[in-house]
Amino acid sequence: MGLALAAPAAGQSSDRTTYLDKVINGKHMSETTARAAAQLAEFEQKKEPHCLQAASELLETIDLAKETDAMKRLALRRETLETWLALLALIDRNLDPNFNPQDLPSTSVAPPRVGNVAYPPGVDPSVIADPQARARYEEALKQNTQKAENYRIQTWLKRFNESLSPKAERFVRMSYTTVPGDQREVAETVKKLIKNPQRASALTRAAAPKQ
Amino acid sequence: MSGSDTNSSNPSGGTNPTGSTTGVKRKCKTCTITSETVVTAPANRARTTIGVGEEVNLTCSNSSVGWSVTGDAVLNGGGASATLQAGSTAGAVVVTATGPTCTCSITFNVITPSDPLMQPAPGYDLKHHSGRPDCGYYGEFYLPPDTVSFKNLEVREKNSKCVAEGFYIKFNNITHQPAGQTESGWFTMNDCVSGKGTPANLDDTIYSGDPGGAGPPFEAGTMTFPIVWEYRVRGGAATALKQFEQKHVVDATGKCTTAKDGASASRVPGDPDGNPWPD
Repeated sequence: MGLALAAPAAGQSSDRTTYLDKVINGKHMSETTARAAAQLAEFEQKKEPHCLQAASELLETIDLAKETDAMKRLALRRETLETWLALLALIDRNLDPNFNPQDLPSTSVAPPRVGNVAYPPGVDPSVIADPQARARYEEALKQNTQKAENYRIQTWLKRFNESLSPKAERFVRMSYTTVPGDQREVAETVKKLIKNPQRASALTRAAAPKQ
Repeated sequence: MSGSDTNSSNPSGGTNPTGSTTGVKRKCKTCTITSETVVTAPANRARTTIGVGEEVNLTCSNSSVGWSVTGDAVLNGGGASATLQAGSTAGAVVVTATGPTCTCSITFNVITPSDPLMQPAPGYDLKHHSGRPDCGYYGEFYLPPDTVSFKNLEVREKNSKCVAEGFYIKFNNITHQPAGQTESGWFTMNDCVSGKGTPANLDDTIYSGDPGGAGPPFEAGTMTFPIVWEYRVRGGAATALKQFEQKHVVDATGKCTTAKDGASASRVPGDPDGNPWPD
């Protein structure tokens, strides 16, 4: 039963991933959204969080009103929406809900004490004569490095989630009207790119007719 | 903080209570920019002295303005509001809002971190093995001053080699980090702390180690690492902070003193075990 339920969900997920990949790696009419998408692609490759901020800053420079050709303006609006949502989708995909900011990383780890001898933290593993102690130390160094890098990535993702989500919602609110075509474009793009139900709800609310 | 209206006089010399732009130039309305730092610490969010990389929300009293900036900063937004993020260099940043009939501006003084501050982290034991001349502690790292926020910076520690003699001669020339790396990874920063500065999100593991040998009496000795930290703004180029020392001293009684950037802690062999981190 569990597998039968899981299968369609997995297929759905794959379709959405494909659309996300298309937005990130596909062709863009706008040079600005193309550059923003390139930043998203770089984030995917290197997991460098500042790429997300760079993408956001590029998207914020887009002024739809300056595009005088109506058809081009509509295409630019759709591309901008897709790129904003791709950015949010990447945050959702990489943000760890269990991240504990109180669990600070250390600058280095102390090697195991062997008898009465203890080397200072961070020392090169090669100085430790005991092979088992050296192997434990090398593993501890590796884990410490990973923890520190993960802490860094999660910290920035959390901050960018807080600062960039309102900007994306603002774009939706300011760029889309209550006419059915506009509403449909937002709803369909959200459905294609956003898996997080709370996020999807917030974005849809931003586009919805105001009470 | 509110910026000044730089064009509040009536350019036409006439008045136009209706605000119409037909025929007569519209009377120039006053215009002010209000600023509020994005971070809530330091508490004064209206300050115009900000740290490199710091963000400020700006609001103009006139909603129909275009925004511009001079100086090392990024400005985003439109309409009545904008967000400023200072760049990586110190100096003046001037933000100007220009409307159809008025212009107003606000000036920020952007500052870089001063010399780093390190001190033992509260809430942890000092590292020590009873009967041995060793000592250490978890250290905290701050970027002063506490009048601005450096939360958008990242910091890292460069690798270095120690100079050791006497008791520590066995450790002479060992490295502060694995020999193949030139520096640590980058660490994020947190909210500014009054009286200290902006703390890094890290525990610095500071420890003398113990080269072994019998005692007391112990051979006196010292081990010194030159320490350089760097910071960067928004993933940009690294800037070095002032160099300081991490120094470990043992005297003949076995009293061990560990100091980093001036802060220090001592243990004598008779002190009880302390294990802030496992052996």
